[in-house]
Amino acid sequence: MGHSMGKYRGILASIALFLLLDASVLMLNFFMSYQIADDAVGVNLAGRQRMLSQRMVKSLFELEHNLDVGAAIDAPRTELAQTVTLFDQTLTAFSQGGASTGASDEEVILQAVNAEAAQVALDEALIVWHPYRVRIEAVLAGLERETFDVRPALATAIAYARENNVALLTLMNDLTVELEQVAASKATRLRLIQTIGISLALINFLIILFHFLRQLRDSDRKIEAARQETTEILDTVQEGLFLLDRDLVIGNQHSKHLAEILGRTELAGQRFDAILTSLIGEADQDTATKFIGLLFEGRIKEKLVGDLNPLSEIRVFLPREKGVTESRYLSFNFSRVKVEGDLHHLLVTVRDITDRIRLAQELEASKARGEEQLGMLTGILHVNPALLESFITGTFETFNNVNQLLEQPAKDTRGLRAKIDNLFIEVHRFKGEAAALNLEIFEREAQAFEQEVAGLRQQDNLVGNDFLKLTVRLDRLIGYTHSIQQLAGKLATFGKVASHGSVPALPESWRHLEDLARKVASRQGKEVMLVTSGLIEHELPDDSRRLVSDLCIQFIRNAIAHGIETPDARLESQKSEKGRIDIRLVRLSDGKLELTVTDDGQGFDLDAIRERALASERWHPQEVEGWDSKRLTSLIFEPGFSTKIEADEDAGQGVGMDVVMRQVQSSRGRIRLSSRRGRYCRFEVTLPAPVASRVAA
Amino acid sequence: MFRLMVVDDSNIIRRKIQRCTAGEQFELVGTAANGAEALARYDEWLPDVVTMDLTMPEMDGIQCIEKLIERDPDLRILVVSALSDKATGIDALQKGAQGFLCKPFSEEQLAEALTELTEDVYG
Amino acid sequence: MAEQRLQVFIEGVMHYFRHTSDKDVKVGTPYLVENDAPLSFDVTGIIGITGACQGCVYFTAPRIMLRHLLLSLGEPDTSADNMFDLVGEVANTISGNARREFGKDFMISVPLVLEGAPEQVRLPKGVRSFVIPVYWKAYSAAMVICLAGGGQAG
Repeated sequence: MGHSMGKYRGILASIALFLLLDASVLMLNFFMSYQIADDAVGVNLAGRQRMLSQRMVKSLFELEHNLDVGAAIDAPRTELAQTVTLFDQTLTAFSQGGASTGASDEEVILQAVNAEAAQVALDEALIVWHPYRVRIEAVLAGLERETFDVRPALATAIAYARENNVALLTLMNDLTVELEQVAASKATRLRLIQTIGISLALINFLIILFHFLRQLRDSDRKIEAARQETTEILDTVQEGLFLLDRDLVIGNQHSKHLAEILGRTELAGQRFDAILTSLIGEADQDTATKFIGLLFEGRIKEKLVGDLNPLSEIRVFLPREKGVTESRYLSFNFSRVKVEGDLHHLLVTVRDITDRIRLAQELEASKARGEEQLGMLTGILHVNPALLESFITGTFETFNNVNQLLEQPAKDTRGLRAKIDNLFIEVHRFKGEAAALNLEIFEREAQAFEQEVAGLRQQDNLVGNDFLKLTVRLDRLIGYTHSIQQLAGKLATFGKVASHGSVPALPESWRHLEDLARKVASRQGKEVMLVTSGLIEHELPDDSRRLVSDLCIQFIRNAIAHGIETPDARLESQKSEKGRIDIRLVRLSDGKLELTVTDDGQGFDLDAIRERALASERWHPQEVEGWDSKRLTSLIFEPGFSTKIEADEDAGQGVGMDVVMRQVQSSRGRIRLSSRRGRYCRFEVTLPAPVASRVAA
Repeated sequence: MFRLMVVDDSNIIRRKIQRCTAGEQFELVGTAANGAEALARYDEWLPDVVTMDLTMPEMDGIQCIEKLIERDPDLRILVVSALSDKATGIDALQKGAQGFLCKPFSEEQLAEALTELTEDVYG
Repeated sequence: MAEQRLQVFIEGVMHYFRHTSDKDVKVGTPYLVENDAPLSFDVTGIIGITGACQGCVYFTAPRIMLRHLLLSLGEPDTSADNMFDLVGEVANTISGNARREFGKDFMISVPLVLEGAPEQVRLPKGVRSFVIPVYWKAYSAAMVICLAGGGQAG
């Protein structure tokens, strides 16, 4: 308050001065008016003295006349007596101060006259008056006595009157004039004082007015300047700035950028929590509101809760035109604003930190890519170079196939669907090979590719454009494979120095099956032992070997995913914890190859297959009910059919067995299947004799 | 001199806090490994200031804060916890804690936080 | 990202054909070609791209299709010049669309129309191009997109 007092001190002093001036002029005026009133009485009485002196003479003559004619003398005598008393009283009052009688018989107090000329006139009048009064009093005294002759005394008085009346009248006239002058000069002085006082007051008023107006204008200008500055700051600052009150209402002013950052314009006076809900959803909004509430609680230490700010780095969804939302990252910062120790508002600062976050994410991604490349490198290190080379060759073939599938014109949905099925088979087979070689990068890429294809399969209206993502993936896979090839090439040069001549042949080339079995088993939470015979013993041409390998991969996957039970389940059915898969390759007498894959798992669950068939709604329910076990088991070779509910890397895509069937059929082979519920499941594949000329040396 | 109680299920953290509060301002009156223990020993130790972990066995920090504040509404409680769940931290403050220090923390950070927590109390 | 970029070019083509009276245009399944053997029909309109991405996008179509297209647009003059103009227009629409979508990070050149395949020097070596087949009536044309750095992942 002291400060604001100072601001108004000048104006308060001015107003006080103005009042003081007015009051003094008023008081002076009051005082002078009394004086002027007194003077007026004096002037009146002085004038009356003139009249009285004349009346005295007149009374004296009237008295003489009445005496001469013998008329009554009471009236002139009384008048004379009164006149003498009044004249004397008044004259004495003028001279020495004292009481007199006014025009209407009231008592009037007169001050002794102090004006010099008046004094002189009075003194002279007194000299003239005293003998005059003595003579008149002698007359009056004589009249009291009945017998006394007053004529001589009267004659003496009249003689004196004749001689001095004019002088007395003149003196009284002088007194009157003098008193009038005194009164007039006082009135003039009063007017002057009034004029000066009023002028001073006026000047003071003008000063006040001027000063006040200037101050008012100054402060207005300052306020305007401050407002202008605030506006400029709010318009230019890159952050979103606003004040938030206890009720979570946004203040009237906010920075221009805020609207942009929050993606909406109407902000002043709006509820912040409602805005938050639209940006980040109900649950996060709730936490944020709680946090803001804490900041308004005095007991909470502001400096000690910053870490808890749930909005310090938050992903928001901003509305953009046409109902599209855009994801951005914002950072809200809250600081208490205290005015004289009271907390009414929080200052909220909002920044768009999307670029920072994206950059961090990109760094993270590039780090991951680096790790991926390292993984790729270590991934291929453990693979036999010859096998890797054959894989890469096969991979390019696959890519070629995929690209050709894409390139084939398919002008209707059916054509596109067939394309998808074929793509699926290619990619699925590729995935199996990659998994078998423990090339996780490829396996993951293939898995993603496969999922995209599966996604398209679900789609109702297929158009060519939907395949674009597949083409993009293919392009990336080719890129990967090229880099693997380059890496492998470099490794090969090292390898030539380090390795001792020939590659330890066949066991190595089949080891990937064991790796696969181990990996799939661990993914499925199962334990499995792979027993093989005949794979190493029979030298096969490359294409036959790849075919056998492909088939084994699918059978192993299928056995572990569908056949082998979990260790617990196995123990319950009095089996050893570890499941067993037997792979046997024999060459029949006619040169044909026979591949048998047996697992000691739960066998086919015909009920599950039937249920699945019904659920797929591909067939009429009655038809399905009528199927025998042979027809049911044959379903596993149907494209897109799987008994596994949840799809994962190993099963459930409904592809696998149909790939097997297709491969066997395209090699003009045959496939037989036998199973016993709870005991085993066996696939028996017969393949035509490999062409002798193509047997590897 | 403030009487300090440390509630944390990690022995390492307890020892760390003990180390950095071995000054003139704080007197460590006791450490508890969980909320239940802290409550059981409260009357014996009568702390002015408490550092409180949130996730602990037996009784978690939130419940413990609630019960401690019931006994002494003026008790100063600093939550010392990991930042994994901001919402839990906010709950703790709503229940009566006044500050939050994020794990891991440096000795200076803890000292500053405790000073800030008790700056307006005459001890 | 790569996919979205490609999509922008595809939209460009579709956009152009949507303006013709015959709206029966289809995009086939995209595939890849090696840049050593670029795909082309009779007339090709190329847009060069520099900036954040380097490479080119071209639209290529057989004469017979262009003639039919001109006729269907109500243009009886099916001279080579008009065919060139037509291909230029398609390329322009594609580049306009791309300019609008990508903003100033992409510098997109004025289309260049020529006969046959773009000179191989224009295509970055060692990468593949995306071919987007465009079917209109019984004809096939194609848009080929070759972008290095950002366009192609790898």
